[in-house]
This record gives sequence, C-alpha cells and structure tokens, in this order.
Amino acid sequence: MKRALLPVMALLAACAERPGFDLTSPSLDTLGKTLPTGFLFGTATSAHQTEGGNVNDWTDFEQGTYPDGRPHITNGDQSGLADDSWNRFDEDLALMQALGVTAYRFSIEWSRLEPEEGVWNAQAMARYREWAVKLRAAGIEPSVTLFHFSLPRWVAAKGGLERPEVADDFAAYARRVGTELGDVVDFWCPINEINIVAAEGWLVGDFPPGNTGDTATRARVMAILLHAHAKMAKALREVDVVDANGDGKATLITTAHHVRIFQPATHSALDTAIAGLTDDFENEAVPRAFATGHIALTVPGTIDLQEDVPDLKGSIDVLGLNYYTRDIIRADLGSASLSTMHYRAGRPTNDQGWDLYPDGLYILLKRFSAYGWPIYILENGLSDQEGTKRSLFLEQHVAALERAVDEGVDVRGYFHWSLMDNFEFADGFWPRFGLYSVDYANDRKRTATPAVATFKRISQNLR
Amino acid sequence: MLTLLTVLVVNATADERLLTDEVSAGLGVFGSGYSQPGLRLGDANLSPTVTGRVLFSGVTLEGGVLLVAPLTRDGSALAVTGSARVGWTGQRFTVLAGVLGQWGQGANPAWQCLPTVRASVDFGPFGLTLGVFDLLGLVPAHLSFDVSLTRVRFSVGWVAPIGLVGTLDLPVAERFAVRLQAFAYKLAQAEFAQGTVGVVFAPGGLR
Repeated sequence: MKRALLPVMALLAACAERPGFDLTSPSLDTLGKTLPTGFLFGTATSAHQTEGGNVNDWTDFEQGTYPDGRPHITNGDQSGLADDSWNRFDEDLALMQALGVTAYRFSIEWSRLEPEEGVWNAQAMARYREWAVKLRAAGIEPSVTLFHFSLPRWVAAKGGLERPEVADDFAAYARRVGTELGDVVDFWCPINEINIVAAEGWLVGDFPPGNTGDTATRARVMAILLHAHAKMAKALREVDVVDANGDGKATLITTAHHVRIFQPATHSALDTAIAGLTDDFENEAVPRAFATGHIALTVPGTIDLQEDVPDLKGSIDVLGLNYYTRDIIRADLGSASLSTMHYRAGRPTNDQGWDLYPDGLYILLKRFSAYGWPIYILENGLSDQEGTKRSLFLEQHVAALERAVDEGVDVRGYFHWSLMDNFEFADGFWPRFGLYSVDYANDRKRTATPAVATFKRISQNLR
Repeated sequence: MLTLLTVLVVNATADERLLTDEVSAGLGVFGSGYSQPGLRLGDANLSPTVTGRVLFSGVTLEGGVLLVAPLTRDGSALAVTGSARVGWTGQRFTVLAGVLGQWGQGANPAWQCLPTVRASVDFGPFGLTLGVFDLLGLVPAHLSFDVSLTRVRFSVGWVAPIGLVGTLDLPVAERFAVRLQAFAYKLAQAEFAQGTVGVVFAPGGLR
C-alpha cells in the first residue's frame, strides 16, 4: 500500500514537465547541432500512398460506400496513380538529395510482389532492389516497411487480419523480401502502426474491412499482428545475413508504433482514469508486449486479452515512434472506446484540426526511453496545404527531440512525414503532408514548400 | 447565503441526529494524472469548495460547489462541480443520494453527470461511512471509520481500489471548527491526491 501510494503523493510535486516548445521559435543556426554523429535525418512515405497503380484490398475499399451512401474515401477519391512514384523514383530521389536527407523510409507493396498466393513478381522485386541500391549510392540509408496498411486481395479474401494464420503469410512474405533485398537493406520495419490499423479497421471503420465499434476484434487483430511481427522478424534475421551499411549488423529491426498524448479533459476521476486506460491500450500495450513477450490488452467490460507470443520478446532492436498530436479525453461510458476524443480549442492545428503539440514529442521520448531501446522517430508531420506552418512545426519538434537527446535519451533518427503530398488513405488527397507539394491537376508536378529550406538548414547542422 | 444561515439557525433544534446543520468552506491543492513507466502526466490545481447541509427533522438536504483551477499551463481544464443530495438522517444513521454535475471548460461534452451517495452508521463513539463519488466527486468510492471524541471528530478510510482518505475536525469555538482533509488514491493508471484546509460553521453547535 505504502509503495503504491508513493507516486500518488509525489503527484503534486512532480507532474510531467511541459517545456512549452510551442511557444518558441528555435534558431536555425544551431538547431540539430548537438544531435549525435550518424543521426538519421530523413523523410518517409508508403507504397499505396505514393506509388500508384496498386491493386489490393484498399483498391476495393476505395470504391465502396458506407450504409448511408457516403464514399469510404473523402470526396470519393481513389488512390489511382497517386504520386506515380513507381515510375518517378529518380525524380523523387533528386528531391531527397536536394533536402539533404540521410535516410528514406518507404514501404514495399506486398500485392505487387505477390499478386496471387505463391506467385511472385520478379520485376517488381527488381525495382525495389534498384531503389535501395540507388539510395545507398546516394548516401541515403533505406528503411523498409513491409506492411503499411495494404494487403493483397488474396490475403484479404482468406480473412485478412482477423485470421490468426495470416501471421504465417506475413512471415513467408518477409522471408522472401529479406532473401531478395537483404544485401542492400538492413533497417526493417515489418509492420506499421499495429494499433492504428486495428483501430481504423474495427473501431472507427475507415480502413478495410470498415467495421465499427468492435473493440474485442480490434484487440485480437492487434494480437495477431504482434504474432506476425515476431515471425517476420525471425525470418528476416534468418535470411538477411549481409551487413549492407557496414555498421557491423546485418539487420536493424523496429516497429513503427503510433503514439499520442492522451490528456484528461478535466481533473475528474472518470476523465483521468479513462485517459490512463486509453493511454495504456494505445501507447503502452504494444511496447510492453515487445519488452515482455506477453500481450495484455484490456477494455473494462469488453475484453481482457492475455497472451504469450513466441519470439516477440527481443524481436525489435530499436523502437520506432510515429507522433503527430494530442487528444483530449472526456469520459463517455456509452461508447466503445469509453470516451470521446477532441482537440483543445485555441491551439495551433494542422489542416485536419489536429493539435500541433511539440511538447508531446519530448514527453513521449523521455517516457519510452525507460524501456532502454534506442528510439527512431519514424513519422512526424502535419497537413498544411498553404505551407505556412510546416517550418515552425519542424523547428519546434526537432528542438523537442534535441532537448530529449541532450537530457540523455538515445534518439538516433527523425523521419518527416512526408517527402511529398500523397493519398492519405480515408482522407483521400486533400490533406497535404508533403515537404514537396504535388499538383495532381498538372502531371503531379512536385514543388518545394517553404519548409524544404528549413529541413535543409537543419540537415546541414548535423555532424 | 444570509437566507441559508437563517434557515440553519432556525432549524437548529435539540433534536439529536447523526448529522447537524453546517456550512463549510475550504481551500485545497489537488493533483490528478496518470502514470506509466517513464511518464507522469498530471496537473496541480487549486480546489476551493463550499458545502452546506440542512436538516428538516430527519429530511436532509446537502449541496456543494467545487472549483478546480489548474496551476500549470496547458493541462487539464478548469472545471466546476455542483452536487445536490437528499436523504434521511436518524439518530444512528444517515443516507444521502443525489447527482453531481461537472462542467469542464472546453470539454466535449461540456457536462458530465454522475450519481453520488453517502451513507453512515454510528455505533457510539465509532461509526462507518460509505461514499460513492463523495467529496464532490473527487473520491470514487471509500469506506471510512469515523471516531467522535468530545467535539473532536476524525475519520480515516480506504479508497477503492487503493488509497486513503482522512478528515479531522478540530473545534476552535462553540460553533466553529477547522477541518483538515486529505486523500490519495490510485485508480488503474490514474493517481489523485489532495490536501484541504477549511472551516466549518455549525449553527446548532458542533457535535
């Protein structure tokens, strides 16, 4: 009892520090200069959002509608040619070089490589290989994600992510890619945002399969994806035995874990307790599972999933975090998530209304450093069609990261989402996340936003 | 307030019941938040309260207002809670039930309503009190052991699932007492603590 109450008694004196990075305008003369040697400063994209011409479960979902007649995708958009990056990689590589990136995170489209079960597309594999080789030749470390939300149709038809055996399909896919690309890729992310793909597909309903309010299945999908990750990591380590970047290790395996700040709307016991439970489910459960090999997902009154996952413990070498915003939590015991989430009025926001909260990056870096893994920020960015907010956003978030590093947090990379505007899944093309804007009405012409100069200045400050 | 005091004084009779008419005011410092490994996300707040209770024979009306004003920038919002309970007080027991309404600045939805219950039973110098969303909703559930000495009352209790709450009334005059109150508890990942200093005015005299 006494030990349990000690942190309570400390509450009044030791609340989380909110340094107020959102109130500052960091100097570009010095920003990033204290980051460690070898720090990766890059950009990120994903296959379905940029490549164009993909045929997968999203292709079908994009053509569908909700029961009330609304299209699944805002404005009825379909990914279609997206940014046509499949055919314009050299142009995009030039953009990266102009930015001065030292790393590029992209994903491989499973449906391109294995359009039918067991049928592999050698040409597509060769194209991805060519990208990795060109990146490395340009001094850019390729970071490859194997699953970034889109599944081959044949996987979806077999039951998609609800079928436990899908973990074996994932493992076979990872083994194939690791075998083919292992000599040019070291930095692997098997699955992007385990919590988000399950939330959007089974709670919110704006990802395939479009189910809503099914908290129990959502938790089971997260568990299946953790099983899949463990098997994929094991396969990658078995087949990728070539150290492509000369750091002495053939593989560097991470996950891309989506994290948010969940702040209680008020002091009330309900708001605070449910914010804590939400934080535990969304932020903590996944890294805790990686640390212990045991999944514990609990929603009071709905599910208490407890499961050991073989080979999960030790399956990541570093922790990747995707951070965008802060949610305010108001208790709502009638909803599947037990709360309503909103953004605080009066705050700076992106075009989608998300709170731009750089303090959150600092708080989360300090927090997750407790696990002991080196950390990479694998996504951080904002939708900003006018391009007027991105420079300050970038400066404030890098300042927050740098402060955390100065205070001893082992952060080894930052990837800005995104290199260029792209197909933002359920939101379609309207949210503009790119350092380079894309003119979809004019041959997808790429144009630098003002933040490109900011990114370059910071990149030049890195040792 | 003058009207309330008039009612309280008129109502103060020799009728010996477990509770008496009283008005109290306090000023507390309240901390709330949640923790995870490497994280304590919380806020310190000022928490002034005013409560009042009046008995019409055994019929008991009780109400109060709590303001929670954040002391830290950009944390949980300012909130005001109002409580109204009605019930019965006998010589050895009291049962009060009602509603809490909490308004949170900028919260969506702005209002949150909860039930609130307090029941006490007296065994002479000792007693037990059960509270649900008691203390203006700040404590979700507690079971307290009450002790009454000569004009000095104190109680100490267990807050579910893990925590403590304590109250001490020290008389400073015939009808006035200083009230010290504190609690600390954990609820899943959430943590709460408060310390309050207040005054109690009992127009019929302190028990």
